[in-house]
Amino acid sequence: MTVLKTLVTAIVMMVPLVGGAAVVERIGMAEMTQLARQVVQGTVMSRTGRYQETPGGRRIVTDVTIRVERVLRGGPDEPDSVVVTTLGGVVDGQGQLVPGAPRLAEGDEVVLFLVPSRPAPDESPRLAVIGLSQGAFHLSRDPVSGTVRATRRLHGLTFVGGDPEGVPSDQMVLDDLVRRIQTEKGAP
Amino acid sequence: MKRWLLTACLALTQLAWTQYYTSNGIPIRWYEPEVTVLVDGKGTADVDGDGEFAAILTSLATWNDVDCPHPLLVDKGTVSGAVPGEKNKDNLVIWEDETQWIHVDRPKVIALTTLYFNDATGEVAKFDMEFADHKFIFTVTDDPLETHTDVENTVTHEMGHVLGLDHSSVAEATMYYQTDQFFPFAMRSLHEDDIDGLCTIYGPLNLPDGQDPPDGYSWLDGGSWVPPGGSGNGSCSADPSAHGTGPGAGWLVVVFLAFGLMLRRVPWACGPRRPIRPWTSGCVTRSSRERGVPP
Repeated sequence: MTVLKTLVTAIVMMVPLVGGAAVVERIGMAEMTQLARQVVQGTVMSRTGRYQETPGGRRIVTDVTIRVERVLRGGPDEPDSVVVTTLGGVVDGQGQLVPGAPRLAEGDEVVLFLVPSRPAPDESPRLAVIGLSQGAFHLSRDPVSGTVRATRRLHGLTFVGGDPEGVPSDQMVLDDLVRRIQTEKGAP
Repeated sequence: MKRWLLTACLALTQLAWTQYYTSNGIPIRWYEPEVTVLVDGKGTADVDGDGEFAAILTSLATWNDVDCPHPLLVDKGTVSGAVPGEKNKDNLVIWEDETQWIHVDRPKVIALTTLYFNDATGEVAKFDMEFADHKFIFTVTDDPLETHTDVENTVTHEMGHVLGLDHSSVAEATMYYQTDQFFPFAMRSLHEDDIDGLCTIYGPLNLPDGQDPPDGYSWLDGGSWVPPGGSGNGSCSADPSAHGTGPGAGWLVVVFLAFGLMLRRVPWACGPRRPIRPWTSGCVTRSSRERGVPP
């Protein structure tokens, strides 16, 4: 048994904990919920990199289309889909990497805490994930129990300060996450 | 039970640095021997005098002092009125006020680094490092009780990202994802894991099989890529095997160690952070200290 424990511990602890380069303050669940215009559960349908005009020329952002399965907070509108703009991406062979930006791949099932994105002058308003990847939970279903878990992949984020009280766990059962979202005060 | 805890602890210490890749799995890294760094001359009003500039120079020197072939971070002085972005070809470190900070839709972001790279080759062309000066307080004091966001701590960590390092899961490493709240200067000095990562990324083993360097570049015997007509950043030889072969090999090492622990007690375990004293050699230039600002 001890041998088994030793092996399991070593293997589990070897799983790389990939993180990235934005330095951020931790955001607690209450604050994240208050800041969010909308919290949605959905599936990543497509990703499109594009240039966005900035005072320094332009930067690459990626528009991620999410098929909305349910709005957890921020109704009453229940859109079929939302477009979330993340920093970085690839356009015409040129890449920009912003460590800490959420990594949303096609097919990912997610819960996203969203705020209005600052559009360029010629753009329509879009949404962004709060606190870079802090506001993105990836969903996965346990094949045995069927339990759906929500996990934050905090790639590229470096945490400094902030109030750790109320900071959501990096992994929790989806039902618990939904309950917390819907019971936090300060609904938008 | 002690063995159980010890093994977990050991396994944790064996977790290692990681790096960035392009969409096709090619390492993102520099291929130039020097990476020039321009700092916004206005600095931050949070710090009296030139303390923030000195802190940045110290951060550059910390990485430059690593004794293996890798790009040197070269201080090119200060600039005024610079705007980060694609148009500006300089590598910028800049404190921004509310009129400059365009990431208003990303609350709680203290600093943001952007790497500009070629997705086909992984070659980095430039970087911008932006600090939200209007929202957060930056400090250079050595007093933990007076510290808010320590400039040297933060810049040393961010420069690791600039050099191609993603986060490490070694809690004592500069590239760990979290600042120690009780010792907010822990990232100022490098850990073996950071050094291992840097030396491996810029060592000869860090390209996939069959991957060639960008056009015109060639190998230097010491292990670094040399641009057309260039002479590299030194003549020191480096045996890449001495620096390990990256996280992949780390798994094997941990498995072997785990088996070893089952067979015998090991008289040591996770200890406190052990700062690495940067050693010096003739391999690197230290132009980053040449501006005359005391480190």
